Formats: sequence, structure tokens, C-alpha cells
Amino acid sequence: MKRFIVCSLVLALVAVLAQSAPADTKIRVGWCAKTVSSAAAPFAIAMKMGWYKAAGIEVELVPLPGSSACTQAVATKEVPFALPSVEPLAIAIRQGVKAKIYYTAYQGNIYGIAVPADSAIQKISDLKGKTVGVISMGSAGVPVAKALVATAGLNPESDVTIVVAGEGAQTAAMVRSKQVDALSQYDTQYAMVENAGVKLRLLDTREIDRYPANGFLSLDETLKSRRADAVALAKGYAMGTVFAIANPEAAVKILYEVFPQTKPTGKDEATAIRDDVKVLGARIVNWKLDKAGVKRWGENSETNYAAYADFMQKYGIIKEKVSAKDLITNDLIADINRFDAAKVTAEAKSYK
Amino acid sequence: MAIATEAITVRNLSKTYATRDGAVVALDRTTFGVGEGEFVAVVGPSGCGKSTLLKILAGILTSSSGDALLRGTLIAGPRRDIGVVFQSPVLFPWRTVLDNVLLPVDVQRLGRERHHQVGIDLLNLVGLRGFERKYPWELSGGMQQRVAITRALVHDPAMLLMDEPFGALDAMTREHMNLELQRIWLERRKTVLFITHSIPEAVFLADRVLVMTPRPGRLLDDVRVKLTRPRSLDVMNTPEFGAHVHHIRHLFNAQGRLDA
Amino acid sequence: MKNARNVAVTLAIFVGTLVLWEAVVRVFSIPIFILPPPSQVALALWRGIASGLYVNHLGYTLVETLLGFVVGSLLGFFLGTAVAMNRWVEFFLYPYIVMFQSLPKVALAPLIVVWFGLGLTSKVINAALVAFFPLLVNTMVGLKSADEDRVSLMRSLAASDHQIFWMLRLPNALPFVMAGLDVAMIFALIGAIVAEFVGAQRGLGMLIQSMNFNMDVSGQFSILLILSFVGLLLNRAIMMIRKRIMFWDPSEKQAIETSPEEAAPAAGRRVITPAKEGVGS
Repeated sequence: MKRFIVCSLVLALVAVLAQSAPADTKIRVGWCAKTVSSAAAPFAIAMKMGWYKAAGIEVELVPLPGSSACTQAVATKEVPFALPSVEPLAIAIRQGVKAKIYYTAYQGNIYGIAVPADSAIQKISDLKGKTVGVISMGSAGVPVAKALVATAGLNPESDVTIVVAGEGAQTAAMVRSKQVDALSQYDTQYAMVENAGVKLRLLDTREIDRYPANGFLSLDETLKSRRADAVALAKGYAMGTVFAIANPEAAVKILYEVFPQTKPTGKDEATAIRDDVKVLGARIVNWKLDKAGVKRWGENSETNYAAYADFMQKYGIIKEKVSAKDLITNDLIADINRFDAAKVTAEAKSYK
Repeated sequence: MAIATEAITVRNLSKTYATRDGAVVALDRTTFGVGEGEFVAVVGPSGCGKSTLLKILAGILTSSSGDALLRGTLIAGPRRDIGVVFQSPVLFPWRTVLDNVLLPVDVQRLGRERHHQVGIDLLNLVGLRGFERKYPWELSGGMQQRVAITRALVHDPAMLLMDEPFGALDAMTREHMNLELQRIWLERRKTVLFITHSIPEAVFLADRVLVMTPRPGRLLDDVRVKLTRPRSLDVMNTPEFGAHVHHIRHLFNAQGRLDA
Repeated sequence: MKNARNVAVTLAIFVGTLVLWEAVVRVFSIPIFILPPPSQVALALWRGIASGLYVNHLGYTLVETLLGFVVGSLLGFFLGTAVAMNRWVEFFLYPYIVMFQSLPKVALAPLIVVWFGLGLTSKVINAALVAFFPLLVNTMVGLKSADEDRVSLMRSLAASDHQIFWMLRLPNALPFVMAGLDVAMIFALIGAIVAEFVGAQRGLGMLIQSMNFNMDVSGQFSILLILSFVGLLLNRAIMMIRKRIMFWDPSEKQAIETSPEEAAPAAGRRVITPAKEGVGS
């Protein structure tokens, strides 16, 4: 009797664990945050509009805790693609990892320093002796804060205190109760905090505005052996981005449909959509191409990457010089941009 | 010297315990015999070795020297032809009354089918007809002890050892149980060794009373009870009964020891 | 004691608490992301259930919990039996058991997720790890708690160690094991949720994380409500099983100490008079 129970349990376990083989190629893409949020709208749109299916792929977003974990997952081949920021790659290259960003998703830097709207802090140098809240100690906000502080001539180790402010509600609560003086997080986070009624003001960080943020990362060998998949993935994302820019409200609705957990149950639908459109708006600013001065979707600006690499090296984010050519490749950009942007925009505007 | 019809033979039985304060002689060269179907009571105060004696006879304690035999064979360990009744009923709460009675049958794999009716008959005999499916908690203390007695009889043992079985009951229940035990014994005529520290109880129940004294534990005297059976509770008021009790008490007093 | 008055008072206290909570939030203008009012929580609960979102993710969490519970309990029971019954096993394993026991299992969750991934496996393993200990300890204690008199009785019947185990120690240990299962079930739920917090794509714990990120605190509260309800249900399920298996446990029943003349009331409908019980009762 005991043996029977054990056997059937094992069988049940195996059945649940086994993944059913899909007809399309299943692509696991590292999403470098623990939760899928409105920034994932382009994926949702590409899935909903059938663009991925048309290309013969099925995309699965795998939430990983941060860009470092994402980069590591790509390096160890746990996922073939990911959407991390570039700093961990710059570090990994020194360790012999051969990977490239082949599509820059956030052309403008999504990171920046924010302070409460009524704060006395006006510029970076005012941060002397203050506390800066980051999402977690592994977040890119940490090196960004330190580097920015250094550009203002302060000592990043002793002149500011970096604390963990957590995500979402925790950050808002800590700002409101003045437990942190400033935040080193990113655009959508700030939009969400403001949605909750806590007004923020961004400090002038124009030095880093040009620096690219997240992009699609893959190992060199994967880009060779699975080129078609890489292109399909990025192309769908590009089309989704165009769609979202044209009709953010439709984008949010599609997001709720494809990823039901992103739809808040604590708000009524109209308010939820309105708030998320604001959040999306913050990311749209950085999706737009004019931020980086490029013409094609995903184009990796060598100038901007080189400047960022210098910045990273100068302010200790990476130890040795890295050349932009080691970080990026534009080989797939032409194929990725083989779509009719005007048509996508029209589809978006007429979406019900 | 063993007698042909002797059921229990005890020869120079001794048991010494090593304790922190040195060696304690619990039992000192005890010798006696019990005939087939005889009811023998062992009476004495605490420390006189009666429990030790019972445990050795039950096979759950080894002697330091000397031996004990049951129907001619040496008692060297637990045996299947012995029934034991302890001071507390020691019933298993997850078994029904009948299942508790049949415990020896299960342990010794004697066959439930054959002994099922035996168990029921015995329960009827002890006055628990209809209680087969009940659980121990549904019974009073006296009833539980009756189940324990039944259990000790179900496998038809050669000897029944009873270690102060009615000690935990109140006085009136105890008297009642004495009568019951007499009735059952008259019915089944088992060889019984009955341990008690109540002199009246010993005299009431037994054919012979073994008087034991402590420090060291040894057999002082073997008193034959000359009272006819069946004995009613009124017998306890007769001069003959009183004489027996007095005689035994006097044996204790002479030793300067009378704790209870 | 269930009577109308008690029910009414309980209800009144419950409703009163809700009203007070709502009032405090409104009067002090507490932001919704710090403490949402019960009205919002109720709405969130409604939306989540109606859209099927909660039920879907509850299913995943339940599967993780139940699997982890079964695996952890079985392992705990078998290992506990081995330790209690075998001196060598106890001697060599016990120090490790104690060490491991002192470790807060939730601290292991990030490692478990790193090793076993974001899917079902890591959740089941974490749940099993946490559910394992109550069973291990309770089984050990239960098996060793057999009454000495009962063991003597078995020995006097010439029972083998094997028989003593199956016929005495094991049934005797059952109350302890059941108590262990009670705790293990809730622990399994906790283990599953914690592992979901660390990294998951599905489950109520994942939803809480997601809502935290999106500042949907009303949603979080509504999920907490569901979790406590689920915990209650699981607990009741174990208690029902316990009642059926352990009808004989003294804590379930009152032992009756009466003399034969009074007879055992639980024995049933008829009153047992002395004459019926037997000769000389």
C-alpha cells in the first residue's frame, strides 16, 4: 500500500513537472525584474497580435532578480536571451564571457536620482550626508548612484548612505516618512510612486541621459546558431514598442490580457488603466529613438556605449577599460527593422 | 525437591541489585512449590521481594542465582504459557475490549478464529457480556481490570501471576473484585500466584499464604488457609478468619516489621 | 456553546472592527499604499476572484503546498522512525538533525530557488523542507513515549521487538504524528509562499510580490485574506482526518472513573444495573 502511494505520488510529480512540447520554438527570455510590469507591454503586444507566432516562436518571460542575475543566466546558458542593463555585461566580459547586446531597448537612460518634490536638495552635490534609497543592493541603481555622486566631486563611499528602500509600496512609504532623502531607481518606479500620491522631482543628471539602459543580450554563439530566433524576438519587441507609443491605453489593456497578474485588483479598471498609462508614458520617453540619436529601432549607438563604458570605468563600476565593440553588435538591426512601422501605428490607433 | 504434580517450583531463588548505596538483596534464597490448580497468595510489606519474585516467574527478570520452574521446565525468559495481571489494567486504548483480550492470541499467533469465542466466553464469565465492542475509556477501573484478567486467561496459560491487581481500586470495588476472582477461579481452577499487601485479602482468596519479609527479602512462613469454599464476604467476620489474619500479623510483628 | 446571542456578539465584534478600521483610514487620510480600508480590500477580493486570477494562482500554491506536505511528512516520518528505533542511526544522525533544526528554513529559500529554478520543484522542495521537521520530531517523541507498563506487558507475552513496534509503539505514536501533521500542513503552506516570494512565475506568493511592486496594497490584503482562509481550511481537513483515525485518544475522550454500580454513561443508552452486570456486583 505504501509503495503504491509513493509510486503514484512520484508519477504525479513527474507529470506536473514535465513541460509539454509546444509546436513553435519556445524561447525563454530573461526578464530582469522579479515581477512582470507595464514595461513588458511590447512583449504582450507582440504575443497578442500574433507577430511572434507568425515568426514561428513562442516567447516565455522568465523573471530573474535583476540584471546581474540575467547576465549570469545568459552566460550559463540557462536562458538564450535576456533584457538586462549593460553594466553586468561590461563586468562579465572581463571574465571571458563572449556576449553582445544586439538590440538596445531603452535608448535613453531610465535611471536617475529623484527627491521629494518639496525637498531642499537641488543638485547632486546636495546629496552630501544624505540617504539614497535603491530597490535592492543588487540593483543597477547602486552603481548609478555612486557614479553620479562621484561626478559631483563627492566620495561615494562616505558622503552618501545607500539604503534598501524596496519596491513599490515600501519606497513610497519611506519617502513619505522621510526615512530616505533621495531615490536611485528608474522611470517607471518613479511614475508609480507619483501615482500613489507622493510627488517627486528628478535631479539634473544630463551626463548620464545619453547612456543606454536595457537591451537584448545573447551569447555570440547563440547569435550565430539561432540568428532567426534572435531577430524574431527583437522584431516583435520593436513592433510592440511602436504600437505602445502610438496607443498606450491599448497597450495597457493588452498587457492586462496577456499577463493577468499585472492588472491590479485594488483599483477599478478605469483608474488602473489611467495609472498604468502614466507609468508606460515614463518608459515611452526612453523607448523613443531621438533619445540616442539613432534612426533604426534597437540600433546600438557606438558613441553612446563608448561614452558609457568610459563613464563606468572612470567611476569604478568596472575596473578595466571596455571597448564599445565588445559590448554591442548591429549586425541584426537591418533584419529586425524589416517591418512597416506606419502599418503598426495604424493598427495601434484603430485597436479596440 | 520437586513434587510430581507441582506446577511451580522455586529453588533457592535469589536476586541482588547493585545500587548507588551498594548491593541490595531483593530476594534471598527463596524456596517453595505450588501445586497444580492451587491458589497461593504472597503477602508482605514493601521491599520484601514479592514483585521481584513475580517478575522472575514472569520471565521478564533474571535471577542472580537459583531457579524457577513451571511444569518442570526452567523459566529462562518470557513464556507463552504464563498469564500476567499487573496493578494497572494496561489496556491498549486503540483496541476494543475484545481485541485487548485477544492481544496474547495476536502476539503469539494462536489464531483469532479459534480464540474469538474463547474471548467472548471469558468476558461473559467475568461479567462483561455485551462489552466486546466497547473501548477501554468507556469502562470503569474495575471493569478494565476484569478485562486484564480475561486477557491473562485467553491463551489458557499454565499459571496466572497477579501483582496486586486490585491495589488501585477503591475498597468496596476491591471486595467485589475479590468475590469475582474467587468465582472465576472456582470455574477455571488455574494455578495462581497472587501478590498483595493486604493480609485479609490474602486469607480470603488463597489456599496458602506465603509470608515474606524485607531486608533481605525472604520467605518467612507458609501458612495453610483452612477455610472452606466458596467463601462469602461474611466469612471475613468469623473467628477462624480472624485467627488466620492474626497469626500472619503476628509473624510480621515478631520480626518487628509491619509497615502496612 | 452556540446560541443566538453568542453568534450575534461575535458578528457585532467583527463588523465593529471593520467599521473602526474604515473610519480610521478615512479620518486620518492614511494613504492607500500604507493601509487600505476594508472597502477597498473587499473590492480587490471581488475583482480578483471574479476574474479568475486568484483561483488560478491559488491552484498552483495549493498543489505546491500539498505535494510539499506529503513529501516532507513522509520523509519526516520515516527518518523519525529510523532515529527512534535504531541506536546507531540516532547516534550518527541526531547532531545533524539538531543543527539543521536550528537553522531558519526560510533562509534557505533563495538557495533552493537558485538550485531548482523558478518552477514547481523549488516550491515543493522548500515546502517539504519546512514541513519535514514537525513530523521528524513528533514521530521520534511519539515512538519513544510508549508506556513502560505496556512494554512490560508485551515482553511478558514474549513479543518480539518487531511486534512491539507494530502493535504498541506505532499506534501509541499516532497522536503525536497527527499533531505533527497539523503543524506540517501550515508549515508547508508557509514554505511554498516564501519560495514564491523569492522567485516564481505563478502562485499567490508571486501575486503578492507583483502587487507589492505595483503598489497594489489592497490587492495584497485581499490575498492575505485568502491565504488565511486556505490555512484554516487545510487545518480543518487535518483535524477531520485526525478525528476519524484517533477516536481512542484520551484528549478526544473523557476517561470515565466510576464504580460498577454507576456504570459508564458513554457505554450507551441503557443503564447498567448491578443485577445485570453479574454475580455479586
